[in-house]
Amino acid sequence: MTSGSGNDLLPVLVQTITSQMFDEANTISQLLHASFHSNKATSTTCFDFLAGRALSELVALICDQASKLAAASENSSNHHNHRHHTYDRTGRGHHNSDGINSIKHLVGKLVDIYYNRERVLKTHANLLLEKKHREVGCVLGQMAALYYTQAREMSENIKAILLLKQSSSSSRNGIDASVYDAKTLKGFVRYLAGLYQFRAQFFKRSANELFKSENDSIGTIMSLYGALLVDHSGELISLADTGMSERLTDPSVMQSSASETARGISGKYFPPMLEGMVNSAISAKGSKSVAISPPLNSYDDVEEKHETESFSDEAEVPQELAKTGAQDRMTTRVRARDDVSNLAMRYAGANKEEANALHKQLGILNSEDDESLKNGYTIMLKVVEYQGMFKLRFSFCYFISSVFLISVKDRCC
Amino acid sequence: MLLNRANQSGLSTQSLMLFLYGLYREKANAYKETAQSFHKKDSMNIILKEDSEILESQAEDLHSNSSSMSSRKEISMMLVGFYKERATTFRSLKRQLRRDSAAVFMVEKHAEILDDVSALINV
Repeated sequence: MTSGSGNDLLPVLVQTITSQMFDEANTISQLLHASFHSNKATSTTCFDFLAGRALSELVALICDQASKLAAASENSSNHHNHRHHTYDRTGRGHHNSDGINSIKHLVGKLVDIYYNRERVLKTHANLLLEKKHREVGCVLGQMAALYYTQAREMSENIKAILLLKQSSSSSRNGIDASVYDAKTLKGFVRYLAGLYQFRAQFFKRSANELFKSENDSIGTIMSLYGALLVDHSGELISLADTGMSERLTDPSVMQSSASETARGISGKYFPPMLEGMVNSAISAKGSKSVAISPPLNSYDDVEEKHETESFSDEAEVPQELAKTGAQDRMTTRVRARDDVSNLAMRYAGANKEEANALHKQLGILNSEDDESLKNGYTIMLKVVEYQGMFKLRFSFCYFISSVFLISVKDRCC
Repeated sequence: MLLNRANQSGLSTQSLMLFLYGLYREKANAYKETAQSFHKKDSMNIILKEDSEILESQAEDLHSNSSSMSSRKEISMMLVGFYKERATTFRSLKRQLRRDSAAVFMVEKHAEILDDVSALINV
């Protein structure tokens, strides 16, 4: 577990939020994929492509936002620990202006994040309403409004906290308003957890509305997305109570056996409940699906499927597209945009190879020779395995969003 | 809107590099924390500490170059360099660990593994 108190809590909070955002992106994209393919397999309902596109763009946005928040978080971590190198080995300077060094900075980032999500969702809500997809359009519009409200509320709330802080501290010793203590920060974490819970309740209500109007696919996604937010909210409350984040990786947590670690990571980044549902949806689709939440040892299978099937997705393109010749255009563009996904996949493969080789070496090492060497290398191996799996998820996330964005664009626009 | 943005490869590669930056930092921190659990003179402490330092500086390089790199080849070349750099570091550790034959064996093998992995990335 990673712990934090006072100034140390802020980086832990930012890392937790970042990790939760990747979790969100992964979950939505995998649910979209499962929903898309299970509907194609059963042909009972028509998957809402416009809604799929909206959620795919949301996934892409969340990925970008999480990456940038991670970078900002690391900047602030460097700043706090005074370990930041002013110049790197190549002599290039670093600018540390984008770090998160106070609640105010974090709130600024979160407010931007929420406003950007609002903009994307609003655009798609209008598009859906124009195309007479009233129910889903309304839900996305309400989601946009909720993000807007929460961004405004958070912004106002933090102003009040900081004004209060400023007046009390300046009366004592003139400390800057950005200075904060553990109590204020913990209060903010609880407040954030409350926002998550409110959003989760809204998602659940929206899901019920969607089920009533027979938009089962998007309704299911909203419902599970809500469940995920409840989990995230619980994590934040626990962080506020204990000052520790269970989510963040710690070598001591990795001391368990490899299989336990695999299960632990899976549970950490993708709730088992969702995993079960996604896997059952995928298995309904049959052998053509890309594997979801692969166990650590099955990387080779996943890579093989991805390499051989991802670009031969022609079979999965709606037949109308094939008739109009749009399929070729789509394939070309998927190829172009999928570079990043492939690259991440390759790096994940490299991690897997490294892990396999280390595992082999560990087997050769006689435990009687040096126990600490074996323990140390076991931890190194687990870190490598875990990061390989995380890269795989990142690649999968990008791949799914690109397939949706391109295929839906060709079909609907 | 986002589709157009996402189509600009620069944005995507930047995200990937920032993502990798996060992972490198995380790995460096994990190794550093693990090193502390071993005795200062323990071989594992030396190995992990050295590796975490090099990973940390590589993470900084990833971050500082995240906005300037736009092609996958450039990123791959950078990562190949990183793996080779780590392999060299592991080989140089042999001197410090010469009294511990098992550790020397492991760092030698680890260096070979890192070289092999760099060859996998280099396409």
